[in-house]
Amino acid sequence: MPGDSDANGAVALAAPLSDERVEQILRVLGRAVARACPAELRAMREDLVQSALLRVLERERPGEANAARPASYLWRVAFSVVVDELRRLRRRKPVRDAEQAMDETSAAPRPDLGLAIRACLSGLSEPRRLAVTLHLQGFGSDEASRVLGWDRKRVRNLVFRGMADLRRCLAAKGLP
Amino acid sequence: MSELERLREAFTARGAFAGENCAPAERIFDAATGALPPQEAREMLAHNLDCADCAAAWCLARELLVESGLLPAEAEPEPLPRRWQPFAIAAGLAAAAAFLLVPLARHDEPPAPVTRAPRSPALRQLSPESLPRSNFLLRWSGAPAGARYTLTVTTRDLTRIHELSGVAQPEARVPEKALAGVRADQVLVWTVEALLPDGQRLVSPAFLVRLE
Repeated sequence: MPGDSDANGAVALAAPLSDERVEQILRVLGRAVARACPAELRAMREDLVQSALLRVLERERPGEANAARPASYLWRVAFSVVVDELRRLRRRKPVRDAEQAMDETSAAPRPDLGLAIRACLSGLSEPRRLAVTLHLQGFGSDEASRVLGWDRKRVRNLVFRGMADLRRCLAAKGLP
Repeated sequence: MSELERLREAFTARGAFAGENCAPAERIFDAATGALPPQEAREMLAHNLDCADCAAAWCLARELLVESGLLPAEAEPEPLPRRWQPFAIAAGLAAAAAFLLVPLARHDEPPAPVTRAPRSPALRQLSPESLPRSNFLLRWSGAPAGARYTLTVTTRDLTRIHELSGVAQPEARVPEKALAGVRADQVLVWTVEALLPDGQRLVSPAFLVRLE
């Protein structure tokens, strides 16, 4: 039913589940999982799509009047399936230590830098630390403002000052 | 890679440091949308200082929200605090004045070549907006040499009609057979994912192309 799918592929799950609807959900989940899936899970992509579909179906009771889902619903399910699988893998394969990781290819991020960033952030005031944490996770000022519940100007100032603190701290540790 | 990208990559490198008592994945997604009470989101963020896996999950949640159109893409330089802004404006005006005056003073010399700072690669559509069925050649640019591409072509309702992996060149032809069920004038959506030699992945925006 094309009318149920918006431009981003989000699907409202209000009607009883038909084969066509399941197919439609699968398409959106396929796109979301493909986008979320890191290289290490690529071989499992189809399995993850099926897991995501099962989660959706478990929460949908055919014949019941299910409330329309928000647009983010299928993307949220796909995200959680991928993250859960990554966590499962991590539990099976213990975290490598920093030295071992440093021996790997030079293209890999430096774990000593990751540790140093964390050490430096822990010395910042809490507001700066939170704002910079989001900044390092790719969040812009508007997005961080929504997450933290602070106004945008405050977030911008915190990021600016926090990043300056971070750079100073890293330089003091001999890290460029 | 810029300094900020390097810091981001090091901070969100999965597997480097894993914490305990991680929040459920769905809560992380909710927090990234701004749907959680700020105090709860702040507590979750504090955990990321000990857990690179959760930091990476936040990063991924944001990427998915932007990809799905649920968050508008927000690209901005690192901000200047308000009290620095007048200096930045003055510096900008000075630069603009220099830009205008230099050609007047040195009008007899050829213009110097412009050197732009390196930018992160982005995948761009090179092929035209409409293509014939007999030569449906999709072309793109942006990834450095040595990249391998996966091309996915779908209809606008995301039904996949063609996928090709391990493509070495930044172009691929969709066979007529794959287009058999597509009518003339129908618009198709195509995306490219590049696996770079250093292991990074680049994902293109969705491009549109009309079948002639």
